[in-house]
Amino acid sequence: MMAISRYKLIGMGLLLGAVALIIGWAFPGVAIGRPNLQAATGSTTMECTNGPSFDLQATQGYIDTPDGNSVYMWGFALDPGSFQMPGPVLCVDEGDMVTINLTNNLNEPVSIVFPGQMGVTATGGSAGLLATEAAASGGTVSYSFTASEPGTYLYESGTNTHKQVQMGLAGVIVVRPAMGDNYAYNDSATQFDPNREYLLVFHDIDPVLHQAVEFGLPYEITTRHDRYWTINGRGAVDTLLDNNVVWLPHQPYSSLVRVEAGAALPALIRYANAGTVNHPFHPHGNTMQVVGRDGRALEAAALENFTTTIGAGQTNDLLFRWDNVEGWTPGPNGNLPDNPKFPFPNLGNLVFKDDVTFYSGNPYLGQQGSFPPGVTSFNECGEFYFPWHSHALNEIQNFDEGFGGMLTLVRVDPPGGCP
Amino acid sequence: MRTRMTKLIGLGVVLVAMALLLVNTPVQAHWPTPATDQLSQNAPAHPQPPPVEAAIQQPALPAAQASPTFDLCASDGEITLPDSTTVTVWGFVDTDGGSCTTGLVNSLPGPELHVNDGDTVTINLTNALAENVSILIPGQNVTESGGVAGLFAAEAAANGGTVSYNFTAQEGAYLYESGTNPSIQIPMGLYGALIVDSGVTGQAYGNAFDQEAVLLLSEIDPNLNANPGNFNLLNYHPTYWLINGAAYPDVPAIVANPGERVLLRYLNAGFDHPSMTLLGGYQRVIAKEGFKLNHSFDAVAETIPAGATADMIVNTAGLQGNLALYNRNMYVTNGDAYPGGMLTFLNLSAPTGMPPMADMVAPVNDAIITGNMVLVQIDASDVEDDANLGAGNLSVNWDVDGGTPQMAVYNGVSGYYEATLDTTALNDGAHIINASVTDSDNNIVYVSNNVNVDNGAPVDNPPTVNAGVDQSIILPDAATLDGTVTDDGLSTLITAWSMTSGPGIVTFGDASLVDTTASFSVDGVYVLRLTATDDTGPVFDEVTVTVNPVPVDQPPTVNAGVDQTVLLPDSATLDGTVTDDGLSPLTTQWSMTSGPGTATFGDASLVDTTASFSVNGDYVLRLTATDDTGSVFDEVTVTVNPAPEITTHIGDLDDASTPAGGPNWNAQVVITVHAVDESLVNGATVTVNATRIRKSNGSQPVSTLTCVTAAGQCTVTQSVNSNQFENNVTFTVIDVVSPTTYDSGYNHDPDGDSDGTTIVVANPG
Repeated sequence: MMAISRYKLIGMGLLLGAVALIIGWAFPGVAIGRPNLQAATGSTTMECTNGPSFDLQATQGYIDTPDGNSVYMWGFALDPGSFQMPGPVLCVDEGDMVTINLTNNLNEPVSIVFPGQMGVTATGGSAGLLATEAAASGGTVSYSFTASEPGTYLYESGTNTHKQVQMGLAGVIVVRPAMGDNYAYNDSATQFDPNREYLLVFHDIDPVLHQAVEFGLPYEITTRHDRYWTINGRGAVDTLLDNNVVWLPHQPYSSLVRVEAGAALPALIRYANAGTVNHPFHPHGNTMQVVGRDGRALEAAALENFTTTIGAGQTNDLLFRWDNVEGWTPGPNGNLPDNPKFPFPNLGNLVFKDDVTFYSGNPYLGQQGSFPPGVTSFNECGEFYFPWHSHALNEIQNFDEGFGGMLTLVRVDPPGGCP
Repeated sequence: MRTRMTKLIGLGVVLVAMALLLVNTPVQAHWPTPATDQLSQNAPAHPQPPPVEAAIQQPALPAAQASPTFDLCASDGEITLPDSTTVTVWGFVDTDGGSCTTGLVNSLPGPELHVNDGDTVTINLTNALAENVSILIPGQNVTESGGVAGLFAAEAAANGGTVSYNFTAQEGAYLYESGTNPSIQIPMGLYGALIVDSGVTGQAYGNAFDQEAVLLLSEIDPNLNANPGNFNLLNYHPTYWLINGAAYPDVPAIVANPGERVLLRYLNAGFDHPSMTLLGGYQRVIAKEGFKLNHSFDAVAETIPAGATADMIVNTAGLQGNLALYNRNMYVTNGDAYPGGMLTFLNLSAPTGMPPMADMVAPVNDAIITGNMVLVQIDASDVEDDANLGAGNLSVNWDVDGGTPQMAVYNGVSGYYEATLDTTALNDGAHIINASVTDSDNNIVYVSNNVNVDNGAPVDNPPTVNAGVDQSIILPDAATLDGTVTDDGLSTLITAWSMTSGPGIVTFGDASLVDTTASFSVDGVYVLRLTATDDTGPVFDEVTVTVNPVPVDQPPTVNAGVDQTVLLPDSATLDGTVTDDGLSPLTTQWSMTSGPGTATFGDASLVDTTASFSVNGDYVLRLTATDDTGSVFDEVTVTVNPAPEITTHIGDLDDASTPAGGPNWNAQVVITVHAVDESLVNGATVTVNATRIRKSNGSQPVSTLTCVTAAGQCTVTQSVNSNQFENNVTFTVIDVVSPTTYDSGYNHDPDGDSDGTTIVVANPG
């Protein structure tokens, strides 16, 4: 039943090269004074705001993009609190009566819809097309519903949805099952390591549209042309930074996924597509087991797959377990077969673009090696990094500069973790 | 289990004109007029349209008709979008017995065709447009008649041409759409929905439902519609998004009673991949492209790819109000105006009273039942009805596995609604008993229990299949297929051979026989499949047959070995290799092509032999192999070097004289020649002077003798007559030559009977 990671060998050489390239591409950001990229030392896991009662506001702010731009956004934030993207992750327990009090600090009406929740009731506000709305500039409305089923859900704007969802008015609700916070659903097969729970929320951004909204200009939604694609509000390689790094004050959530080879319990990955484009996502060299969809557990024969397409408005829950099946054994020799198609990485066949890398210098898990003079490695203890990204490859860029955009890494620590 | 045949893009042709009409009458079912303003999850209505019952399509033709015929006309016309934009469209219309002309289209999509699973369906197409038109029905196996040949299907010629398509309908939701110039004709509107019902009322793929709604998704780029004859598809950019040809707010709502199960049949005739979301409920995806899913799943938002269809059931139990159903890619505008586009509502009337309570008392869940008199008991009650009408006035229906519902009758003694179930009509194994309880205000509650029928019938197990061992044959031989199929015989067994892969055509002796033959059109590797099917489903095994071409006598291949170097007088060891297919007699022969001297072979007819050479130099030796295809040769060069010069000396001189009868004796010396390292030297020519002393006059005749060393030694002999000569002879080594250089300074003799150069031997007599 558990996901077994296969095919790790495939593309390993490519991946290492790609990582070197990725870091290189990231550095135009450094050139204009952005903080240095570094290996994660703090938390990158999902950060909950616990309920079951939440005070939210609809507000405005800016996100930073790795190419040095900033984009005007709308978003849900805690009240009091400051703008953030995506909205806070609202965590409740199965059976909770959830209440969300919304104050609208934007200049047009805003509402919230709760896909996957049934029997939502509203207090206050005024009638809207899809949901009761909080009036512009200070209006309020309260929503409540019983979180009857565990899973991953979106909450998002139900007003002017063609514009407001694109502007960023979306977030995620996580309903914890009665079996415990370390289960995705009320099924023992969905148990995961509570220290390895990750959330990846997708967005697509047309900065021209956002600029038109910012300056009150007319915009034509039919001319929309996305230029930024974000995970948790960040474009790569900001996706790799820790939660709450001080230089991204409005994009608090990391999307670097960390797993440990051979760990007893899998990690849980929650995908939520808050954007309006369907995104095919895959981690290089690995497969994952899809156990839930839109807040409902799949049947026992859950799907093990490589690429998962997350349609607009969908959520997917996946278990990710990393077993060392190809023998990336710690030790000087390991037992990897020599594959002429994918020769072992060595200093002769690797390019360290801009002299920075996450590569350890050694193809074996838990081993580190040497680098040419002047090359800096962020590798801590011989851990692996695999790219993990939207395979709609136009989306792994920041405006027109790649690598970037809808891309992150999955980090595999050697058994026992980094010392 | 029914095995679905390949659902290919149908091709087919026919040639009939039009006639029958397609009745598309919205049936005024029992749905109550929905109360307005019982709205969304949390809001009263605001710009919502009044629900329109026509959204729920009912079968257009009587379901009993087993050979329905549709007469469609490809025509043109105009539609008006909600923002008053008018676009020219092409579309399929039903001519209702009239003639097919231009200008007939005033709405999209084409008529919704309803037939039953297994029906033999005919679609007669007449084309009033100025370019050819055809119809594809992806998922149905279509044959065609009439018309003119087209890229994907037979076409009805422009300006009045006709074609007919015929197929046996397979259950599910299918698009019918243009197969001619489709990248223009489909967005122009030449599409429609074909709904193949299961044939059992209220069931789709074995899932029960109460209401059915078809949602045909499509899109419009007005620039294309304005100029279909000369449109650059690189500029295709739709700005209108349609459900059943209409955009919000013109899309009728889907109306159902709370508690009803609503079957949503999505078909995407557009080129985008919309994610269709339902707020406040779940859509259970039960089938895609007409195939029932083995593992259905619940979705809020499900993506319907371009050209795909999906069937979903919304169980509205516990839900109420207006549930928004829209394109979550947010194509919810008409042009730039919001709201619009692919947006509609599932309108659930609010219940007017308390729902009934229901429990299935018997058989209990997971019960094992047997016989023809199994009691089904449903405990049902309703607060209002029981008070107002008395107990026993609820409508209670039950079915097995979603089959035809039957009524359960109230038993005043037991207080339950009861019926009997004849399990002998069921297969042994798992079944589900469903019951629905409806009260007077149309609240419905469903209950069900799982049961296991056990009438002792043997369990039908799947057959086992072995297609035999892989084999190789040579053309034109046929392969003898030795399959094995075993089965318990509890249901009809059908076996069939088929080709899974291969480069040519396979002809089976009798494909239905387990043991048969297979012949092949061309050589190559074929994978043949033996499939055995009984009521438990198909099982197969495969065998690989490697078909080799007719063998042709090929010339041998010859390798004379690697070039080599030898020293005189050594011989060369020739290591040749000759391979051949053995299809004709093979002979081999070594010969000398060139060389400074003569080459002598150990056995010139052997591939591996030796060659010795008369003088040093380069010799080219040829190994020739000959069969019926001719001769093939390869050559090897042997470089013969002269023996190397070494420096020698005499290592020993020993007297070996022997009597020779009478006064005669042989003065004889064994000479040992050493190299500098005292190793024995072979092939050295030793020149020795033998000096005798004549008794008569004291003269000393000298004979010069030579010998050539072998094993480091050679012997010289001088005949002596002791009557004429003294009784001793002096031997003196003069020279040791070729291939040596003689250095007498190293001469020695280990036993001291000479100085290494000169030895005096005496008459042994």
